[in-house]
Amino acid sequence: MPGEKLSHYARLVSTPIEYLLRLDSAVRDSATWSAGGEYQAIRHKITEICDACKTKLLEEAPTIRRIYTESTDEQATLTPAEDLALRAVLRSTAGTFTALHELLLFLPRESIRRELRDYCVSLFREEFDSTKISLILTSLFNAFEYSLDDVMRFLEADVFKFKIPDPKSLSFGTVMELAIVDRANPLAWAVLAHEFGHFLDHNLGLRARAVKEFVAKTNTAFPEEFVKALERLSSEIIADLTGYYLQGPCGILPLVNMSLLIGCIQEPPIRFDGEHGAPTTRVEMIKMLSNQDHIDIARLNPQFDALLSEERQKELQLTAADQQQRTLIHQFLTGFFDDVRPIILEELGKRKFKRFQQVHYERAETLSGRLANGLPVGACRVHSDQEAREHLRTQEDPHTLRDKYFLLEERPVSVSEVVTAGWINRIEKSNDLYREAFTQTTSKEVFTRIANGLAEQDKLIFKSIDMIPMLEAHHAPAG
Amino acid sequence: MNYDIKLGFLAADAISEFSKAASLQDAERYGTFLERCAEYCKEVKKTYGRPAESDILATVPNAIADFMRAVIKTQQPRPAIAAKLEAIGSLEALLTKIHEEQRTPSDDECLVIAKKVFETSAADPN
Repeated sequence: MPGEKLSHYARLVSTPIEYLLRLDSAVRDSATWSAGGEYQAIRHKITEICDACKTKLLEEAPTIRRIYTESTDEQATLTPAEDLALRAVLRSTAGTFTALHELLLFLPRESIRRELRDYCVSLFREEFDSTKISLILTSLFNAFEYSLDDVMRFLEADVFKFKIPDPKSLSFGTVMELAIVDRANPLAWAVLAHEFGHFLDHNLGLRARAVKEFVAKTNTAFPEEFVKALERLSSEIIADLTGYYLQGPCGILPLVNMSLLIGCIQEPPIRFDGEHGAPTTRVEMIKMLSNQDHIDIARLNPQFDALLSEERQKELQLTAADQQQRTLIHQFLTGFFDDVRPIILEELGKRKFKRFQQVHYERAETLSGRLANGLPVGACRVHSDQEAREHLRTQEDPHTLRDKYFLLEERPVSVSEVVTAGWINRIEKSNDLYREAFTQTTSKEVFTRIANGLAEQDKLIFKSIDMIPMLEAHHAPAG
Repeated sequence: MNYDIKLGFLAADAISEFSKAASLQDAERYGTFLERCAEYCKEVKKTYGRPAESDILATVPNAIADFMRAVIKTQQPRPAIAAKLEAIGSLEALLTKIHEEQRTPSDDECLVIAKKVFETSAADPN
């Protein structure tokens, strides 16, 4: 809305542009490995529309340039006309992206990247059995988890019953789907921690246990339908908690970005749908958890707060009755979250996961500095420069210098730290990237700069994740 | 959620003209802004419009008129679309009024028009 700080607009602008460019890049790249003539028409149409979007974005270049140049000026804002024109072109960009992404259904699909499998193996540990969980890409702009056994059971047609094995005798396993556009977007992979939470829930029956304890605690006889509704709610809370447990506060950032994008396209705020709390509620829960765990997310807050601010402005346009209903739902969900959280965390604690904690976030903050300098961050020093200097000063014998090489030893970090460092770097570097890009004069120059800047950041994350299994093997105990 | 790319482009073009007109205070640009808005309204009606009772001429035989009414009943727009078409209707009325009065719209009128274009360009809920 007019009156917002320019720093707020900076976050709004970057999300749809980033996704449009990722889509454009994915479609153009697909020409190299699927050159069939039958796909050329679809590819050509998609890239033609992307180019039209870029032309319209460039018409708002003076406003966008000002946003990124003056983003630190707390008093600067946009006029109502500038605000509307910018939002209209961002709506057009975001809406075009979501429509075109579904057309990727008609293009051949790649498999996932090697680094994504490494990410999942490293984050989910022994619970991630790749013979039982398939990771595939989807043309829907979302992420999913579902049991293929359940899907097969729902297929009532005789033709399927005769042709496919009974899931009881041969399990089809579980599928986790990631949007095609996020194949080469490693920071978006954090959403899979949420999806993995659904997998755990299905396999451990967590939701039923959580609701059973909640019902017992409230000492109330709930009707069956309401119990089912509570189980559906629990399922999403389990997934969000798992995402936070494994990946930290960045586990919810892919949802934040998705919500910022959807928010560009629709007028009302994103509401509770019977299972998923409103994104504002989910973000508040993560912020509360981070606060309790002493994780200072100040460097992530620009992204969180952009969404919260946009949604709150939209809430103010609702009727008083609708606003009150939203508040009631929010209060119930946060209370329910507090009640079921201990059971879920207790169960997660029994698994051999590495819990993301304050120390990991602080290390990620240090790693983000190296990313900003163009260095991969799959490992970090065991001893700091200061420790090394101190040791060398107190033991100056040059003949034993070789013995002191251990001071330079590096150990692998966790993939959750790498992705967190990546998010911090992305949020902090995006202003410079977009400011520099929009000083260019042609559409090609502007958007090539942004696309290249994002690709460079992605490559560093890929390299970082790639290093980790090798370093872990190197440092593993012998035998 | 369904988003119409073409309508989105037209809305963005119209509102962009408003922004340029407002910053340059250029009377010609205000004219282009109104033209683009009219074009957008026309396209929205074309995309979402459904046959209405008013389309049934008095000269149409009764049997055919009844059949047309039955068809119209099956094609009632969803509430969100109906609201959009109503907003476009009132927007067109304002544009027509300004055009007939052969004047440059006031800043407030321009903002109202641009906001209506923006609001009606939102995606349709499922």
